Amino acid sequence: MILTLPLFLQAFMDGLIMGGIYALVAIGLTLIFGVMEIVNFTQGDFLMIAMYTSFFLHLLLKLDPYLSIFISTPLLFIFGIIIYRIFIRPIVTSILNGALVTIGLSLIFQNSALLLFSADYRLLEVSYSSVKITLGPVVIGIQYLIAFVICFTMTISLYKLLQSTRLGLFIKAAAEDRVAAMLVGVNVEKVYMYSFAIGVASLGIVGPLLAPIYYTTPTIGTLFNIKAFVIVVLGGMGSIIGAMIGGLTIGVVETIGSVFLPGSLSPLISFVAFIIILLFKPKGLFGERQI
Amino acid sequence: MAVNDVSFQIMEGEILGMIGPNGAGKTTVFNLISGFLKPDAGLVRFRDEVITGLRPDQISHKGLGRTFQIPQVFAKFSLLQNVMVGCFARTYVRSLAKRNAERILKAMGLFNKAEILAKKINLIDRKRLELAKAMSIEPQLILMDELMAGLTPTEIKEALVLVDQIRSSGVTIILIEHVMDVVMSVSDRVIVLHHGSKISEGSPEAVCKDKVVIDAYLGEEEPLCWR
Amino acid sequence: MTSRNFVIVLSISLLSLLIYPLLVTDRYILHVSIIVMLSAYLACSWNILGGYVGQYSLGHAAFFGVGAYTSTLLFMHWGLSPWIGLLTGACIATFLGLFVGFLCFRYGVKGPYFLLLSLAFSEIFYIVAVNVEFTRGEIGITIPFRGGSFASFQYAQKWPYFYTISAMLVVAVLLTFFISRSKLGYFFVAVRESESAAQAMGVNVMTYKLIAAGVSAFMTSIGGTFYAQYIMYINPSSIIGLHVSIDMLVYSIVGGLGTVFGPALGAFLLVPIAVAMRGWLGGSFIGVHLIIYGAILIVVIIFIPEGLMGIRQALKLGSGSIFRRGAKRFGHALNLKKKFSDRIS
Repeated sequence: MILTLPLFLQAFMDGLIMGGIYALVAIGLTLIFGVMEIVNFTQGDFLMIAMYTSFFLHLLLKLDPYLSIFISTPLLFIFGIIIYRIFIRPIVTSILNGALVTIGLSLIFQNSALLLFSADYRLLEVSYSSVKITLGPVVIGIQYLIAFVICFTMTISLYKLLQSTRLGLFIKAAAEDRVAAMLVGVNVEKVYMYSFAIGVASLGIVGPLLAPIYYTTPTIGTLFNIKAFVIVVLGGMGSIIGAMIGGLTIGVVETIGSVFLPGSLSPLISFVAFIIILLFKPKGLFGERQI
Repeated sequence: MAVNDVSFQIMEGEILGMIGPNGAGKTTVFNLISGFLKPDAGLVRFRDEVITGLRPDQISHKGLGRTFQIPQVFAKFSLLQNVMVGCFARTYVRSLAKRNAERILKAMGLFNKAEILAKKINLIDRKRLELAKAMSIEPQLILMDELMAGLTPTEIKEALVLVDQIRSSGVTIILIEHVMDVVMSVSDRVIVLHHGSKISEGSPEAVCKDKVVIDAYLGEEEPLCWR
Repeated sequence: MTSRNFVIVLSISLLSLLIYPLLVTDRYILHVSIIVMLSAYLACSWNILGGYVGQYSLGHAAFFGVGAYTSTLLFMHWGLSPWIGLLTGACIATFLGLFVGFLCFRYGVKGPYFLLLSLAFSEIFYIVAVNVEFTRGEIGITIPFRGGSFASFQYAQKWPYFYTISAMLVVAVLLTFFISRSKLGYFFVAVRESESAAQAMGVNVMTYKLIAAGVSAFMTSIGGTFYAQYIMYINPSSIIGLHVSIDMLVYSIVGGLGTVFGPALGAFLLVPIAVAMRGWLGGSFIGVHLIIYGAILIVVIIFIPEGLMGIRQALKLGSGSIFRRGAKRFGHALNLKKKFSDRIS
C-alpha cells in the first residue's frame, strides 16, 4: 500500500490517539514497577475487568460509559487494595515472586472471565458512536477524541500528583530507597498499597473509554499487557513521562506499521522492538526508576 | 571518580591493612583488583602476571580470593555445599571436593554445622563461611572486606584467630577494616585511602601518627592510636 | 536426597512404569497417562534452566515448537525419519537457546526481565509460525500414518508411546540427578544463589547459564518431536502457545524448583486436575483448569515456596509458621533488622 500524505496523516492521528490511551495503561504499570519493582502481569486484566464492568453497566442499567468511569475507577481502586494486601504484600520483597503471583492472578482473572462471559466479542454501542469530527484530511471518531483527551488529562494529573503532593513525595521516596524512606518515617507499606491501587485504578478510566471503540474479550488483557510492557520498556521503567512519550510512539508505530504489514504480523514489530530495547537500552529513553 | 591514582604493592606473606574514612574507595579498590570492576587506567599485576581486565572467575583461578562486605552465601546450600563450590574449581571429583570442603570447614570451626543451610546461620558464622569459601579456591592472596563489621568484641577475637591461621598457612592478606585496633594489631603495613586517593602508607605506628591521616579522620570515629 | 533413596524411588518407579500399560488397557486413561508423562518430562527440562540456575523462562514453547515442526516438516517434505528430525530439531533448538541465552546473559537480562524477554521471543515464533506458508499457519499439519514401527516413530497402539515417553522421563530425571550431584549442578546453584560469590569462587557465570540453556532447549525440543509423533497433528496454538511455557513453569514451581523429582511431581498433580476439569465440565469451559493452576501457583509461592518437595519442611515448622509467613507484615522485624545490620556495619 502506497503511503500518501493524507493516509499518513490519518494513520499518524489514529496512532497518536490510540497511543494516548495506551499511555494511561502503561503508566499504571510503570508506577507499580517504579515503586515496587514488580512487573504487574494483571495490568491488562484489570483493564478487561473495567471494560466488562462498563459494558454490563450499559447493558443492564443503560449507563453511559463516560459515567461508568465514576463507578469503575473507585471499584478498581478498592479491588487493587484488596489484591495488594492479600496477594502482593506477602511477597513484595521478591520481585520475581511478585511477577509470578501476578501471572497466577492473571490466569485466574482471564479464565474466570472466559467462564463467566464466554469468549464472545462485545462492543458497547452508544447513540453517538458514529459521530465524527473532521480536521482537514483527517477524520476522528468523537469517542476516540474524548478518550484521548481524558487519558491525556489523567496522565498529566498523575504526573502532577507525583510531583506536587505529599503522597507523591512519599511515593518517590519509597521508590528510590525503601529502607531510607522507612527510616525517615514514611509508611512505606501504605505507599506501596496506594501505588498499586492507583496504578490499577487508572484502568478504571481507560476501560469505559475503550469499551465503545475496542472489542471486549476475556483475553484482551494479554494484548494490552504486551503493548504496555513495550511502552514501559521503551520509556524507561518507572518513568511517567517515558510512559507517555512511549505510549504515543508505540501508538503511531503500530498504526503506521499496520498500513504496510498484514494485521497478524503487526505485533511482530512490537516484540522485536521490545527485545532490542530490553537488550541494548534497558533504561529506556528516560532512564530507570525516576518517578 | 571513586578511586584516583592509587598505587601500592604487597609482599608475599604480608598482611596489608587498608583503612580510610567511609567512602574513601576501599571496596572499589578490591573490586578493581578482583575483576568486578575494570579500571579506566592502570594495571593490576599478580605474581608477575597482568590481570587487569580479566573476569573475576579468571582472577580467582589465578589464586586470588575475596570475601564480601555483606556475606554472599549460597542460601539454599548447606555450609558444606557452599565450600564445595570452590573446591570444585580444582577438581571434578565430588568425593574429593567434599573431603577438601570438610577440611576447610574444620579449620574455620564450622564442621559441626556442615549440614545446616547457609541462610540459617548467624552473622559470625556467615563471616567464617565467607573465609571458608575464600579458602576453598586455594588462594595465594585473599582480599578481606570488613570482616569484623557487626561482630562483638568476643567474635572479633575469634575471627582474628582465623585470620592468623590463614596467614600461617601461607596466604597473603589485604584487609579493609574500620575496627582500628584490629588493623593496627594484625597488619604488617597499612595504607590509608581518602576521597579515592592514597594519603599515607607505612607501618601501623607510623601511619597513626601521620598528621595527614589524623586530619582525614578528624570528626570520624575514635582517634587512631588509643592503645 | 541421598543416592540410596534416589535409587530406591527410581527402581520402584521403573517397575511401576514397566507394568503400567499391562494393567491399564483403557485407551483414554493411557492417553492421559502419556500426556502426564510428557508434561513431567517437559517440566524437568525447564527445571534445568529455571530451577537450578534460577532463570525463569516463558519462552520454552519455542523450543517445543522447533522440535515438533522440524521433525514434522522434514518428514512431510523430504521423507526423513522422525528420529533424524528429532536430532535435527534438538540441535536447532539448542542453537536457538544458546543464541537467546547469550544475548540475554551478555546484556544482564535477569529475573522478571528475562521472563518478559523469553516470552517475547516465543511469541515471535508463534507469529511467524502462524503467518508463514511453510508451516501451514493456524491450519496446522496432519502427519499421515505410514505404518507403526520404531523406525517411523509411529505406533498403532498407545503402549509403545507410553514406554517411549516413560523412558524419556526416566532419562531426564536421571540426568537431573547426576547434574545435581556434580560440579555442573553445584555451579548452577551457585550462579542462582549469588553470581558475585560464584564468580569470586571461579565460576564463569555466563558459561554455566549457557550450558543450562542449551541442555534445557535440547531436552524440550525432543519433547516436541514426541508430541508431534504422538498426536499426529500440530498447529501453532497447541505447540507454541504461551500456555505451553506457563505450564512448564507452573509444574516446576508447584513441584519444587531445583529438585530432581519436583517438576515431575508437579505435573503428576496438576495435569490430572486439568484433564478432570475438561472431562467434567466439557468443551465450553476450556481454561477452568487454568484458574486452578493460577490459584495453586499463588498458594505455593506465598505459603510453600519450596513446592511439593518442600512440603515436609514447611509442615515440620508447625502450621502457625505457615500462616505467619504468609501474612508477614511488611515492616517485619526480620526484614528491617537485616537491612539495618547491613547498613550499620
